[in-house]
Amino acid sequence: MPLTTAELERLLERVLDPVLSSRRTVSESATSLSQCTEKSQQFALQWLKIVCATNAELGYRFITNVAAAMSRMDLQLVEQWVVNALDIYDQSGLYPGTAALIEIDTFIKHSGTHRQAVKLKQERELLGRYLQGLSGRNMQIRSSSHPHTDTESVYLPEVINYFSDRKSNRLVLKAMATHLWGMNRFGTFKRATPDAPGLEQRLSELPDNANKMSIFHALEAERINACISRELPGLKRELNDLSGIPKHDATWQTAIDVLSLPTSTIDDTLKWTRLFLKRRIPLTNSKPWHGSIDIHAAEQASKQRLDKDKTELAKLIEELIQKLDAENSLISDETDKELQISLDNQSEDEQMELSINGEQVQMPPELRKKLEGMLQDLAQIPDEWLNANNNSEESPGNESEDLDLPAELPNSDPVFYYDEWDYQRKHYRKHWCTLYERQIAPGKSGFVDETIAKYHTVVGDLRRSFEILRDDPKTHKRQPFGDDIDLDAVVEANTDMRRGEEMTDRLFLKTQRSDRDIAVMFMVDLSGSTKGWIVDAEREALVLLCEALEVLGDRYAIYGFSGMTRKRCELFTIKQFSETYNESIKQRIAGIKPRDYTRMGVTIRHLTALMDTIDARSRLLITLSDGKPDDYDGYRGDYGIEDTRKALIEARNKGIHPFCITIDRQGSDYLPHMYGAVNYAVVDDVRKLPKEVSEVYCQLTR
Amino acid sequence: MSISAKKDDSLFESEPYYEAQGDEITLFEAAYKNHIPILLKGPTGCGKTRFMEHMAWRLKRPLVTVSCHDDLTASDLVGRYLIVGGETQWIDGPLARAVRQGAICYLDEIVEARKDTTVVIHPLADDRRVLPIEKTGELLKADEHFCLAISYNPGYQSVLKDLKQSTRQRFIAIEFNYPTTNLETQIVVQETGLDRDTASMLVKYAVMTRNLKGNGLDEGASTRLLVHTGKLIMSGIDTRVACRTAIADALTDEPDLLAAINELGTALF
Ligand SMILES: Nc1ncnc2c1ncn2[C@@H]1O[C@H](COP(=O)(O)OP(=O)(O)OP(=O)(O)O)[C@@H](O)[C@H]1O
Ligand SMILES: [Mg+2]
Repeated sequence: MPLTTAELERLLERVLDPVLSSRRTVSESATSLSQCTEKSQQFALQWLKIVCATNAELGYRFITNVAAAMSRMDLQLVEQWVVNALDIYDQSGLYPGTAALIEIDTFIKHSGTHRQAVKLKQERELLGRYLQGLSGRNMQIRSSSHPHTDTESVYLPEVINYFSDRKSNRLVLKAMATHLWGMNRFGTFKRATPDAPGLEQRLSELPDNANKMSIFHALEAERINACISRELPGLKRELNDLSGIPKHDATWQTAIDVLSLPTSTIDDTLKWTRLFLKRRIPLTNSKPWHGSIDIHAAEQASKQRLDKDKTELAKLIEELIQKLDAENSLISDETDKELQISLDNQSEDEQMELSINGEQVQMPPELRKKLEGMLQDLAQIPDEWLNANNNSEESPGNESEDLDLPAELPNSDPVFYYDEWDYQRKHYRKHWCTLYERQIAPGKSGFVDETIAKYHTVVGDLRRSFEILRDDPKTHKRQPFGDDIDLDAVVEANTDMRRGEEMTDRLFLKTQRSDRDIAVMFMVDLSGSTKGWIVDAEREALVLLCEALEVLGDRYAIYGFSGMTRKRCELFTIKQFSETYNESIKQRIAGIKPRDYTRMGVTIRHLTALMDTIDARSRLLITLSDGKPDDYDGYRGDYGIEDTRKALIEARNKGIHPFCITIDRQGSDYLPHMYGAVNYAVVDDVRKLPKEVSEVYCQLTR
Repeated sequence: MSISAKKDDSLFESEPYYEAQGDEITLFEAAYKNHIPILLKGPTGCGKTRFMEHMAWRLKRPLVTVSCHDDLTASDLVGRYLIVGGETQWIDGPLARAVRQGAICYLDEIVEARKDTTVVIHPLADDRRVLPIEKTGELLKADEHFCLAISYNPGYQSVLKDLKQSTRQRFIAIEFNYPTTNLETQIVVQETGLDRDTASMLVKYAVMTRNLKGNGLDEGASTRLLVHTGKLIMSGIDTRVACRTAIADALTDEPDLLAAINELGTALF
């Protein structure tokens, strides 16, 4: 049996008496140690004696930190941590020795240089993809010394050095990521309805106890473990093979067995928590991958997301109804459309069905995705949210439209005026935006060569793949002259001749360079948010792109865009179609700088007009961006997205093919709506942008 | 020439196994009755070809399938003169044959064909329902039962290969997607003889790879890949190995992506 808080307090007081005072007690240390296993307690007490033999003050520091250390490292490493502090004390004295005990993070990070340690940095990308595969909702991976999830991101420690072998440490990191994902997937923070009390409140109604949060977390973590084991048997097997994972006593095991039933929910965890608190059951050991829980952060994020989801849901439903109306595919044409989403959560995977006024209709994928996401936050979506005529009246996008920002003066740059689409009025606002065509101040001249040197292998690869595109020879049949005889044609001519018809002279095959007739325009986001490595990556991307396009011979133009309010939209010419790729263009690429905001619609309209003067079989407009349309005067959210979408439709109607390359991981939430389901690519790592842009172009025009 | 039309254009004797995803069967039948040509849209390996076989069986018509490629010429479809025993003889191409005998003609991956080839189906695909054979001067009127269907995968592909509006607006479009989880499990069970549990794990795996689509992966694992995997497992290959070879390695060569897909695989199996 582990020692209780009172027992520990007495023990510690005896050992540390000389350094204690009325303001300096051991009660906190005793509480946290009481939650440890018997083995860990023995370990701590034994080492306390050793440290105190050296210095009592150091002993006090040791005991206040040891519980935290033991939750982050296995005992072997905790031992290294103490010994390290004692060494430092011997060499440099009390203050540095104390610091070594307090800075557990630093120790772990430092010990992380050991071969067996696993660093998040190296695993981040893989884990990101892994989590994306597991679930529909995009979870970011961030680092934090106390691993938890706020339902938008999964926070993982920078280093895992729990076990003495690398494979096990990797597994712990993966299990931890999965566990935190699992809390979202299996409803730790799920509420019955938007107005139902959240977890924080429900917990506050349970009897007070210093261990309340820890007991709750331990029970809930075991419920989640069971869910994950059912979902991912492979992971379960691997985790079972880990050695030294603490076992539970009978009381805990009973609770865990019940919570492991497939039917158990967060409600059951709360029931058991109440029971445990009432009976004052001591804590059990948590598993190394459980991390911690931050209910407040999670509920905050979930609330914000729900508000957003609610408006987006209303929009998706309205679109669906409009589409069905336009297709006349609804039998009843009552104006009051009543949507019903029936959930069949009897079966293991929830099947959703959608009906309108009782008629079953196919659910569009975006709507399905949205609902699936929302059902991670809510057990049930309120009926009124599904009511099509209940369009939430949003505040108009341009509330601050009369913001009078002086346009930058003096202005001899060419000026253009464009309309802008107001989705709420369902009308254009006439001459709403003022666009200036600006020059770019040349940047340093060596930039392009440096970039090529930096990426020389990539440049080589790209050149080769673009050469394949270029040289993709087409064999034209039935030519009057050529490099080879067209057997089909000869046979045919022969039959013609025998039938007494005139024999054709088109009997040859001619191999010809493919007649690519492509004009492509790149529109590069220069908004303030690209500051730092994004704009660096954009610059490099343009260099690689130009190199590759020169090989290919496609006609191309490049523009940067930014601006501040509708009165100052700016377009920066980097390369026009008519210009050849030369030194001054290279310097313009080097000279691009992050500016202000992203008003996309007006830029697309302007470039569409420019493109319209170009005659080519295929005309492409490719946007490089880092996020949603966004401008200072309310051009954001739906307003910005809808105007951009409208501008893209206008471009498409002129026979221009728009495409978007973004580094916004959330891109797939809104880009399908603007560009169409297949006309965008998300690059999940800025560092890959330079290479990806050319590769996407290659794919797009192969 | 690589035309994979069934030579004898025979009728299907037994019912090709097909699980309906929605109302596609009713839609197809209605279009068929009204002489409206049909465009099947959807990702690779989601059952389009199987659906056509099933419909041909249902409607009791022969099925002529042509897989289009960028060398396919109009005469490959329509026909040509050949010399047979010293005599010239007109030989119908698969399209002309289907038109004459009232078969269902399925042009698979139509966008792969050269643009000028696509144009020969235009007069067939509107209410004229004729196929002009330039060479013989014949204006071939389609049989009452003739039906034209084409397929098109609107996935991540070259903009140069987009389907022209003048072509696509002649068709009604039926959209296919991967079946729902339960249905897909059923298909894998039926096609491979695998037990339900393993089959549903395979489907789960496929869904995971589909979640990765767009971020590096062009397409997630198709139903076809699952059927392949199931067959490997039934032949005694270890489940993990089968998943690696028939799913992960089949999807991508990119090491980072491959690692993530395998990581998901190890978590599952
Ligand atoms: N709805 C379904 N019913 C029965 N079998 C199916 C169904 N969907 C897919 N399959 C299985 O998947 C396999 C692949 O389907 P199919 O060949 O029809 O794909 P496809 O859509 O024609 O692909 P592609 O576009 O690559 O030609 C089939 O052989 C069959 O085993
Ligand atoms: Mg097929």
